[in-house]
Amino acid sequence: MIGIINTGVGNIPSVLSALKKIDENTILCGKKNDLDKVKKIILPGVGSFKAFHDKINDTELFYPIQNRVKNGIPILGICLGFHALFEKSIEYGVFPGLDLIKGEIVKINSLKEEVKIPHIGWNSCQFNKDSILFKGIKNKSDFYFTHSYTPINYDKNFVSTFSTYEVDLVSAIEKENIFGVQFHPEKSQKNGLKLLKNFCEV
Amino acid sequence: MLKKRIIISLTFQDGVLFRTKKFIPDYRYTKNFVDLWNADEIILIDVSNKENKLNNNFLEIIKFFINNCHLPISVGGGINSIINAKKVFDLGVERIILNSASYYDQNITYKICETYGSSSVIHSIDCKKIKDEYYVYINNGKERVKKNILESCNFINNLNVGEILINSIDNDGGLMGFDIELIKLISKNINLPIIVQGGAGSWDHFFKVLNIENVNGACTQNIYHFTEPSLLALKEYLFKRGIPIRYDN
Repeated sequence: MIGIINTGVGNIPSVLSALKKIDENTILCGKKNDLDKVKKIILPGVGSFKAFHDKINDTELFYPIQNRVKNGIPILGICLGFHALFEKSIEYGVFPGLDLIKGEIVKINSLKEEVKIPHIGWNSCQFNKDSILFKGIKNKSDFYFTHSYTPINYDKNFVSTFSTYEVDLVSAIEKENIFGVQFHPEKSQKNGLKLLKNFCEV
Repeated sequence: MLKKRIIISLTFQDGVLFRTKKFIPDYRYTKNFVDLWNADEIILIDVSNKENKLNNNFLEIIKFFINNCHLPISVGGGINSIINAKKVFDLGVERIILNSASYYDQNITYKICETYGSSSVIHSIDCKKIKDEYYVYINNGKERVKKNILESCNFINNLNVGEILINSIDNDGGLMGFDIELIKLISKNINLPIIVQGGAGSWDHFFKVLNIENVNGACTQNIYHFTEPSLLALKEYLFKRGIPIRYDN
């Protein structure tokens, strides 16, 4: 059973429909006890880090997610959910993340001023290391991105792919049971469904 | 490298799929033929009369596409409040398209961008040429706005949205090519990624428009482009001519 964290903002139905397509059972988790039954967690997200942070705190899911992941349950963060895996974000103020992996979230154009944000569209993912998520997916395959923020001060050893948009952006990370993707696999057709399947089979 | 997008744009009146010509529903289709596996994005537009916008018929259409196409979906037509925007986002839609709402009350646009993020909002600019001058329209092309085109560009630059959709009302459904003059004029005056619509009739029309800097995507709504082989053929045509395109995977 895959637990999808109900972040209240955006793309939950798309994630559910993608997992249904690959025959996975899901449960929507909106309060802390919901996590007891799940074997894996998907943390989706669209919108602002602040709205997301408020919602996770309101539902008292922050510490249960953190604890279960620290005890070894696999988690996949998508887009904003990917950002939430890091230490903190400075989008609309400073907000703490789940602190599962080193790094912080900043606006893409703070890396290079002339970069146009948001970064929207299909971009290729260049492999940086062997990866479970990308098993059976070709190097430089395209995935769908839509975001204005990106991690910095991360540990390069945990980066599984980079994507180039004027600068190199981290597009996927993997550290033991912790997985995160900047793009939207649920919106990336065949490759996206394959990646979700790989996560479900971890 | 970021790819240029081929976007399929579908217009619905009371939940029924139509092709439009100069923004008027013109030819009825069924949605069954639409094989979208090779498209990069889908845009669904509600062109129903004001009182019927965003009713259940159209919301069911959105659900159908969310459940059957695992690719980005944008929705426009009649979204004029944060409540309406939520209704659409809650279905799993990636981005919404605003137009008239911003002209009536730009705070709605600011609020939606703040809640859902700028990258989740596209602003549409619908234009018509009358005697060498371009004019901007709202309400399905029925109402001309007081701002001229450059003032409109300025206005949109300050809305904090993530992308612009340029629509040529004159070229809509005409298959004679995109309005390059209009697109160049707006792209010089708006500092945002741009997608364009209205007039696609040949592969070369796509090639010409996607060569313009800042144009990140081009839409087509004609049945001629919709079959699986034709979308692939279009992408191959562009790929061979050096346009960065999502083609081989």
